[in-house]
Amino acid sequence: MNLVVTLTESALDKLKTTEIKEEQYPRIDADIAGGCGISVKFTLVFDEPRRNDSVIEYDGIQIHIDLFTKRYLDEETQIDYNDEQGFLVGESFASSACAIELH
Amino acid sequence: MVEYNDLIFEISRPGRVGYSLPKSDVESVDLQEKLPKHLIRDEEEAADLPEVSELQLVRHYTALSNKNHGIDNGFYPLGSCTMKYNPKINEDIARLPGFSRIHPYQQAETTQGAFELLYNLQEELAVITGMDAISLQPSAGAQGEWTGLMMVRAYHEQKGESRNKVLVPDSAHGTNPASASVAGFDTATIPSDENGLVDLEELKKHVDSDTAALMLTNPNTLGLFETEIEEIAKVVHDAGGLLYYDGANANAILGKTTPGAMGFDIVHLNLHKTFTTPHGGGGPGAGPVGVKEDLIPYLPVPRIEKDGESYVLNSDYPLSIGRVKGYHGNFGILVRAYTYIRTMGAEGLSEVSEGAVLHANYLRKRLEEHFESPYKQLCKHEFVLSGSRQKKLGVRTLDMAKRLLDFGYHPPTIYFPLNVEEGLMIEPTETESKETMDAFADAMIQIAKEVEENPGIVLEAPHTTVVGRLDEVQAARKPIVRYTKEKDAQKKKDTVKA
Ligand SMILES: Cc1ncc(COP(=O)(O)O)c(C=O)c1O
Repeated sequence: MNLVVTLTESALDKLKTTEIKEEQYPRIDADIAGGCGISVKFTLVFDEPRRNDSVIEYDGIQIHIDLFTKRYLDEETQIDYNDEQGFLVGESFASSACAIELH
Repeated sequence: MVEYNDLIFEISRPGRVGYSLPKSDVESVDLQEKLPKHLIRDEEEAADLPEVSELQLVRHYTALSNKNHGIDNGFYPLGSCTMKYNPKINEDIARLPGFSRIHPYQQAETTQGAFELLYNLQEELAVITGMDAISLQPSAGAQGEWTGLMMVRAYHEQKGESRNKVLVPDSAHGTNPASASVAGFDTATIPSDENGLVDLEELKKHVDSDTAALMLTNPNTLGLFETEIEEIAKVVHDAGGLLYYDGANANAILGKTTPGAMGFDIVHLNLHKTFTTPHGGGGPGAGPVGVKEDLIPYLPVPRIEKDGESYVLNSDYPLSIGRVKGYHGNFGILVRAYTYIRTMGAEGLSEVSEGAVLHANYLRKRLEEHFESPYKQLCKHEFVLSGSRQKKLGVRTLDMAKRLLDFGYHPPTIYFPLNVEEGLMIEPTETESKETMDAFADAMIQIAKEVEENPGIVLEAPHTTVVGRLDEVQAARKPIVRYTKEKDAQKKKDTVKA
């Protein structure tokens, strides 16, 4: 699958002005909530590289994505940013027969 | 045998039947002529029922059932679900014609034995929970919670108080806040402290004159016993709130202590977890609810009571919240639970909780080195590990869960409770042997090694199951939940082309 990641201007601005610790990179990460059915939420975090990461370059910024997360991402993923919610990544989804938060 | 992997609709052939009737000795009528036109369905509307022989039907469903994983074919350490063995004697007793061939509309004089069983079960559960009275009506844990909360509401209203807030710890089972909101309450979440227990200071901050109740699961979903339970109870009671005990994890405390002794006012049990009635697959459950004396007037009606030598249904409780379930609850399930309690006896039930706790701690110790273990203290019936170490190596808990399928195990509960990163929640139950638990621990340790040395095998798992790694993304985004002939025909054409 060919992944295309795009950043809105506000996301790009924020990324360029965020101080990132040495050895850390921005990463699109799948956050899973489970129990009965799973729901996947994508977030942007800053952490160390993982063994099977793919790296995507966008305007000079390297964004890491692990294999697991890659499986769940749409082919085209947009990253946005606003002050209230922080970074917003792609489309999250829930697969569940009993879709409340988890259970 | 490939044919039995097909859908029952695909096996179907026009005109094939699974019955034979004697030749009719009355003249047949053409329904098309006799019925009013608007009642006759045309081809399009006709129910598309499969047409198969009896043997095809039996093979089809037997083949399906063989693909299932159940307690009878393997280890099932699904945390929070208490997937323990259901003794076969429960089934024998539930099938006795005196229980299986009666009808709730029969005259009470003709079903005295069934009522006696229900009455005795109420009495036994009252002792087990330390409560004063029990209702057997609720048909699941969640419905027991809701029933309890409706009683909480009725109790405060009767006292002329309006209390709208229900407190729920963040480690609670999702049904707790859900039941509270279905019962019309607002919920407030109490954060856990670093030991995974209710943070008393936080609790004190949230308790006020609007607090209707605290719902507490003990041991909680991390498998931890609330060490400050008496203080917690006092804080809530002092503010005029009631204490609701989610007793779905009673497997850990049977015969050792009771919610009543801990100062709680209401409790529900999950008979399908703790008392060996069939569990999962959406089958009928039972979530009896017990109360202390002050709340008896609000229990669901009709109540089963003893009047001299006979058993009667009594609906004469004007403050009752009413009926919450048809008839007397899921009767067949209640028979099984009663059988379990009587065959185990008080001592046996006490050994159950000892076994459940010992087994969980044994497994926890065997696995602790190989996975992050966020809570290090002794646990009760279950424990939670974190896959955070493996996540750093690019393998997730979901991948490891899939890999466990290759070893023939049902994976533990994953990604729950939500306060543990990449959580794996393991509940071995008391009914497993040491050999089974050791083999499972060996498999988990092997998987942890694979993550380090050969992660591909974990990332592509499962390898030995009937179907491989499912496309969960497709399943979540574009679920196809209904079979239609047209779609199926199209799919076949597409496959041929490809
Ligand atoms: C702690 C706890 N509370 C409540 C429930 C809900 O029970 P049920 O699924 O019967 O509604 C469960 C289910 O496993 C549970 O583990």
